[in-house]
Amino acid sequence: MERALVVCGYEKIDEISCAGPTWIWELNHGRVTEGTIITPEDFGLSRHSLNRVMGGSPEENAETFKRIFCSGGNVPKDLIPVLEFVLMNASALLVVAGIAEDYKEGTKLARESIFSGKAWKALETFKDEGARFASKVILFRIS
Amino acid sequence: MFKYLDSAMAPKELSMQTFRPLLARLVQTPEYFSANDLKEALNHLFTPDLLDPTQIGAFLVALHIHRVERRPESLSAAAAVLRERALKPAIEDLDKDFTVDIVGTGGDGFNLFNVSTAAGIAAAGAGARVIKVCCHAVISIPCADIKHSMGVELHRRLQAQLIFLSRSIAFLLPHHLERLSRSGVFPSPLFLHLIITAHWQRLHHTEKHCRAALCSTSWVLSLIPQALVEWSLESLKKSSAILLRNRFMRVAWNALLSSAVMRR
Repeated sequence: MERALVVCGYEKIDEISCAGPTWIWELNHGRVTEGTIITPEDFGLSRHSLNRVMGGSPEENAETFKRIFCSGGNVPKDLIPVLEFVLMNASALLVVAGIAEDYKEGTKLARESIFSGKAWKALETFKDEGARFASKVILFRIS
Repeated sequence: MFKYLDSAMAPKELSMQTFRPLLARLVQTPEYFSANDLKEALNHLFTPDLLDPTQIGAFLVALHIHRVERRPESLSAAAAVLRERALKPAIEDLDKDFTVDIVGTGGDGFNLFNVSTAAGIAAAGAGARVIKVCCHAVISIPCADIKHSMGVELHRRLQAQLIFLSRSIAFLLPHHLERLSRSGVFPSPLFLHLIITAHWQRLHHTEKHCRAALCSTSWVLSLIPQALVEWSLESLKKSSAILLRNRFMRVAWNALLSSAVMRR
C-alpha cells in the first residue's frame, strides 16, 4: 500500500463531513501522520448540516445521483449540499491517487468530471463491460 | 455435502450436521470455543446453500453475546478464513498503473446519501482507476442505488473477475457479506472491519500500486495506517488486542456494538 487516508467525521460518520471538521490519519510511502483535521473550507467548499445530505430509498438515491451526474453543471439548488459532499470526498480520493496536488485542486477536478459528463461515462463503461462479460459467460454456459 | 481444503487440516466434509456441534459448543460452553472452531464454523457459513439463515443468525448472535468475536485470536482466525476464500480480481496493467478505492465501514446510523460510491465515480471520471469494494452491501444499499440508476447489474462473482479496462470504475461485492446478511442479523462493526480488511488484503496486499481512502465511523480505523504498513495477521491481532485492553475504547466499542448488532 503506497498511500492511504483514513477519515472519520466529527459526528462519527464514515465520510469526510460536510458539516464540520473531520479527523484524518494519513499513510504516505511508509510514513504515518496521525490525527490531523480537515474542514470543508480546506476544499474551498461551504459547510452544510447533515440533514441536508440525507439518503432515501434506492429509487430516491438513484434520482438524486442522476440529477447531479447528468446535470451538465446546472445542479438544482436543493442538491448543492449533496454535490459538495460528493466533491469533498472525491477530492480526497484524487489527492490520495496523486492526481490532485491538494484538496482544492481535487475539488476542481471532481467538479469538472461531474459537469463534463465524464463521471457518468465512466459508469457507462463499467455497465457495458459488465454486460459484455455477463453475456460471454451465458454463451459459454449454453455452449 | 461439501468439502473444503484447509492447508493445516485434511479435507473435511461440511454439512448441517457437522455445523450443529460447533453451534452447540459456542452457545453452551463458549469458553471452550476455540479459534479453530471458529475457522471451521466460518467455512460452513461461507459455503453456498449449506446452512439455513436461522442457523447463521443464531451463530452470529451467540458469537456476539458471548463476546467470542472480540477475542484477538478469533479475529485472526476469521481473517485467515476470509482471506483464503476471497476472490482475486484480474486487473490489467496493475504493475504499470495504480488503482484507488474509497470504502466506508458503514453503520454510522445517519442514513446519509451514499457519498463514497458517487465520489468514486466522480474520481473515475477525473482519471483515477477506481475499484470500489462495496462493503456496505450488508448495511446499506449503494449498489442498489447504482442498479436503479443505470440498470447496472452487479454480477457478484463475475464482477470480482471483471477484467478492468482502461480508466474507469469497477465494483466488487464481497460475496460473503450477502450470505451473512440473509440471516437478518447485522454483523458487528468489528466483524465488518475484519471482512473489509481481509478483502483488502486479498485485493491489495501484494500490489505496490494501490492507494485508498478509508472512512470509518469511529476511532477504530485510526489503527489501520500502521497495519497497512506492516500488513499481516499478526498486526491485526495486535491491533485488536490493543483495542480491547483500553478501557475507554472498550466502553465505546460496547456502545457501538449494542447499537448496531441487531439493527436488521
